[in-house]
Amino acid sequence: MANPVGKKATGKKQGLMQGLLGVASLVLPTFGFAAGTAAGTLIPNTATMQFAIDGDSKNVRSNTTLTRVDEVLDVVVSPEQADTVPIDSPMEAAQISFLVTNTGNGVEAYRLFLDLNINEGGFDPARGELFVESNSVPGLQLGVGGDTPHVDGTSVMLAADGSLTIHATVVIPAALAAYAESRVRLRAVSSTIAAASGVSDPESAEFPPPGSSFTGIGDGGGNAAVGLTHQAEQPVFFAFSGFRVEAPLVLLDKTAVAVRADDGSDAVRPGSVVDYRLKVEVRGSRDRHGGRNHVDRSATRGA
Amino acid sequence: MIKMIRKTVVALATFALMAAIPAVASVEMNTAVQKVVIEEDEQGNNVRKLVSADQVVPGDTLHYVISFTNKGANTVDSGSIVITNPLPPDTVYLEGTAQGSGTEITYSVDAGGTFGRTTELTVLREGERVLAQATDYTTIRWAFKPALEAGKTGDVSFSVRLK
Repeated sequence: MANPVGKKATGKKQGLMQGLLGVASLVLPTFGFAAGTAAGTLIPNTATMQFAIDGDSKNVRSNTTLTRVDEVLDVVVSPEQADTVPIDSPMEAAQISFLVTNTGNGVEAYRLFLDLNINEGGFDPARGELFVESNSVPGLQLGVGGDTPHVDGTSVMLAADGSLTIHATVVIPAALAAYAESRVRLRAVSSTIAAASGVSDPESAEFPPPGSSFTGIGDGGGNAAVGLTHQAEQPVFFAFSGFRVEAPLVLLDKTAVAVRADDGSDAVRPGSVVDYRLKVEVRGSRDRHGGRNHVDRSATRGA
Repeated sequence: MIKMIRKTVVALATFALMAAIPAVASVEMNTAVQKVVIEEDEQGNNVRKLVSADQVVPGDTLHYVISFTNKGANTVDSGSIVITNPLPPDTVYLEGTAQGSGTEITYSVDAGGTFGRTTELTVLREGERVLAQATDYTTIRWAFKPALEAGKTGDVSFSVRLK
């Protein structure tokens, strides 16, 4: 059950926020740095005393306090490509990648969502698929021995400071104008937050803010607290990346593929017949050109 | 007459038994921990408050108080009380937070092997011996100067940050 959250922080929540802010100085500027002591760790403290009565020395030991460390739920998603990805229209499998890092202090399951319908003014990709990088070969490989398909909305387990590369492929619709753009978003929502609050949409007003604490369901048996990677001003538990339809580009390639001389040889001399192959390739947007990708033709005779 | 003799024997036996039992430790210690939070008061000033440590995350400040009471009938010798507290694991000491009225406070950087004042402790850092920082301390020691009379109490305290 989340603690009540008001506009003015309560003592408990404010106290929790201070710890989280302390963590933030470690976590936020250096994405991918785990947040300190592991969740569930018991911190013991015991003091001892020596004293004397009439010169007779004695020792005494205090009780031991045990303080359990709560789990901080923090995750950072960042795109692996610096800029928008150039694409053609249409395109069957335009690809982007994200890095998902658990910057909290416990083992946590994160539900991954690929959001496509978030474009105002741009275009929405038709369909998307997720893959978990799993074959140690950079980039996405499909099929046997390739990366592992991942069902949208299901979770991946991440240890504290653990990272996963997530690839996404989307279908780019046909007939898009040159320079048309689209954004997609990858969300990594803590399963603990989703289960405890019932909310996984970061744009929902009900999404629990940093400092919200869930009793007894943190890794290691303590509480679980929403970390600062979920703050409304600078949320980093989701990230955007995008596509941009390339400008039309026509490539022409002319290659001599056969020569026939009058005597039946392939000697090139006056009177020989030369067959050429002309290849025309159109990249980027094709909506205004209606061109075909390949044109094969034996056209030119004479040398 | 026989009853009187019996009572005398029982009393003598009781006295002899009490004299044979060594004096038990007569000072009791208790350690308590709370979390430090900073709250804003109505004037907008930051106010340090101590709250329960039942919700603790990395980066939090923990405040420990070690209190002691002379539960016996005899006075504890002056200058004889020495309290030692190894810093809790996964924490770092916060400079200047060790307190204790009537005590001399020293620190160790070698897990209690030796103790010294803050200006006396050194550590090796990148091959060079330098003055130890608060984050190097491993143990705190309080030497309590006054005598502790029967029924009297005292306390010492310190704060750490959870890594």
